[in-house]
Amino acid sequence: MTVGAAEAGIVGALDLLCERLVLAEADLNALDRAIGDGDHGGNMARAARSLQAMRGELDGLPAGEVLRRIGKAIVMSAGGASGPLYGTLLLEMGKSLPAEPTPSDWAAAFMAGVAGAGRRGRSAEGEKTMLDVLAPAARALEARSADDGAGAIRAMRDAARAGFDAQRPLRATKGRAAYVGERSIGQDDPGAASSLLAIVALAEAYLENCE
Amino acid sequence: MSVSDAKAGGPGWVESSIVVQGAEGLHARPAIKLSRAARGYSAQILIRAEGGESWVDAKSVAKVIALRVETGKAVLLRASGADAEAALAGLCDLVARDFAEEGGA
Amino acid sequence: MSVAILIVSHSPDVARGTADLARQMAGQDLTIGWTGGNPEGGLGTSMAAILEQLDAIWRPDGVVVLVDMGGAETNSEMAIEELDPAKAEQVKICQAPLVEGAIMAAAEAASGGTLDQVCRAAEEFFQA
Repeated sequence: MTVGAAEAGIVGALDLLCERLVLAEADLNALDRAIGDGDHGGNMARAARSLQAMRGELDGLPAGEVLRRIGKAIVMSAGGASGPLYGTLLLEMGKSLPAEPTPSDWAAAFMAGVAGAGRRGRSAEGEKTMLDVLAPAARALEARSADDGAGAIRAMRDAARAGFDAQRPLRATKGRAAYVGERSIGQDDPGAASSLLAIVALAEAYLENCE
Repeated sequence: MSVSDAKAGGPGWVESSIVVQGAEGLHARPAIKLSRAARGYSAQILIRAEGGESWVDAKSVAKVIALRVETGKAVLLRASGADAEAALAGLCDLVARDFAEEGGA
Repeated sequence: MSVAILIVSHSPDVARGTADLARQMAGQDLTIGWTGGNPEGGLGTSMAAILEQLDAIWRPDGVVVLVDMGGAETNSEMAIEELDPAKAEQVKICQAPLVEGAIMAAAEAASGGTLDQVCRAAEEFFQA
């Protein structure tokens, strides 16, 4: 059973995600001011708007191509440290996805994307970054990819939430937040926040599509 | 040939000294010109500020700048190798004419 | 021809000013490019702008890239990856402070240094 771009409802999910990112600009900036340079929300909103602008060209394309184009657009538009990270995640994911992907292909592609983002940012889990949300989410999806789609997506979303809770007490050692030192403990990493927002939005869109 | 050999003034090294005249001393542009000229020679060339402690590689612009030689102070040059004499003559001449470009160069 | 220098800062003002300082050190013969700001002109970095500069100033002797924090380096890495592999080989990002590194890189490039020597000069600034 394959889950192509249309079945996955990629473009619809993208719409919801971009909407949420634009709305979250101020909140993400606020998180970033506490432990960074205050521009994460702006960067993500800018990326979201550029994705909204290119939406038309994505219809009918295979999933892998959609992901590659989105990844590239994010790199070109975001303008912060997160642009290359999210961009690389999606580019790697798009490159890994075969022409007629099965659910387990999707899970493997997500894992490849997360690994790519880790290499790009030279980070690993436990360093209070987006990886603390994305890595558990990818593992959960992979563990359940043989099961029903909705169950797998819910598991992914729940793992993302748990990962987000787990990063809060950590001390930042990467990125601008590392300069903040002890004060980062108890603060939420903005990249982790935007990752959670993305996973939740994508899960919601997929589950709505199912019903 | 190691720097310590040079310190000892061992055989094979020729030495001379020259006073730095330009208003900015051996900073920035003059340092660049000196190290650039030094690289044109195959000899190993060392430089020390008068009264300074250590000999450094004259072909390293960073090291020459770090000497912080002020105007009116002398630098000592040591060279060893096939074109050592020519190197010293060339570099002393360069400093003496305050790093002006040679005519037609 | 000498090694070219590209200055990448989150701030266009800092990038331009740093290029000015480097040029003052090393004279007019060097090629010193600069870029700063995100795609909308605010503080940040833009992969596209960095790539544009790399394309403009690349030469066989190579280009050293001086960066300030995080995003400047990652976006520069991504821009280098967009180049032809043969060209990408001749571009190095220096692990050096932006301003001091740029000045020393300029001095070394003006002295006729190779790509590796120029990068090392920037990186060894505090050890000179």
